[in-house]
Amino acid sequence: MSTLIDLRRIDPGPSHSIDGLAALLGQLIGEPFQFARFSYGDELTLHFGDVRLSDFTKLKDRRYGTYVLGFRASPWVVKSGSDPLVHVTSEDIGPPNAPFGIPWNQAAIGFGEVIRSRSRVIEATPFVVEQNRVIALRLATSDASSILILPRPDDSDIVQPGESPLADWELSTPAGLVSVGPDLDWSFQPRETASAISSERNATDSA
Amino acid sequence: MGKKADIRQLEAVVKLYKMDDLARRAFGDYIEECKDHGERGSQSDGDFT
Repeated sequence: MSTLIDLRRIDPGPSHSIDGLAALLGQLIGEPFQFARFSYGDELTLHFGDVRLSDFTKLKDRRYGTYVLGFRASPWVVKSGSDPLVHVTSEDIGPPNAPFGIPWNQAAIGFGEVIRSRSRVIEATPFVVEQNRVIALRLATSDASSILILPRPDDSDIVQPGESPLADWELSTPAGLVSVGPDLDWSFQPRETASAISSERNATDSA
Repeated sequence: MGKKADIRQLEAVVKLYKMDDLARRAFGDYIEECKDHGERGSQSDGDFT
């Protein structure tokens, strides 16, 4: 049996089925890992697919993957398939004082040493962590590396009036933005028409 | 691990200017680039908000 997923007609539906999310993430399968970058707020982003240059005049040389996985403020684990390396972000999911652990200097150790560049995504599986009521993600790449995003509930994080809850993780795709969390919610925001985006970008560039 | 408070600050600007996710990423990278170049925000501690 084969399945056609029409990215123009994605609706999570009232149940926000995890199977629907898994189907949506299927577009990552086969895409090559390009590079990782820390963005504003120390957010880790992984770039997959073809590389394009930024459309924004103030960032002309900045490269982006066609698909950008944003980890937002969620803990993560990256396991290298080519070397015995495990990168863990927080004490929540790793030993705080392991005798063999060293602080990871973000500038000195590139992700190219952990996930082989151009290795391809072979698995993209969201799964529910029942005890925390969050949706986690496991990616596997063809160099036998794996990436885990393991969101955690944050009771101290109070959303102020006018603010939107921060997603646990997200995937920017050519068709739109997949936002996952908080809790067990996920959504898909289709990309606007090229002309609308273009006018928005011009406004942003002049801001 | 990302800093939720910092990301929220960026989100506030994103909402104000109604940026899409591509513009949001670029804006965040632009601010990071400014910081890398030693530029500081207008707040007394150099914060950009």
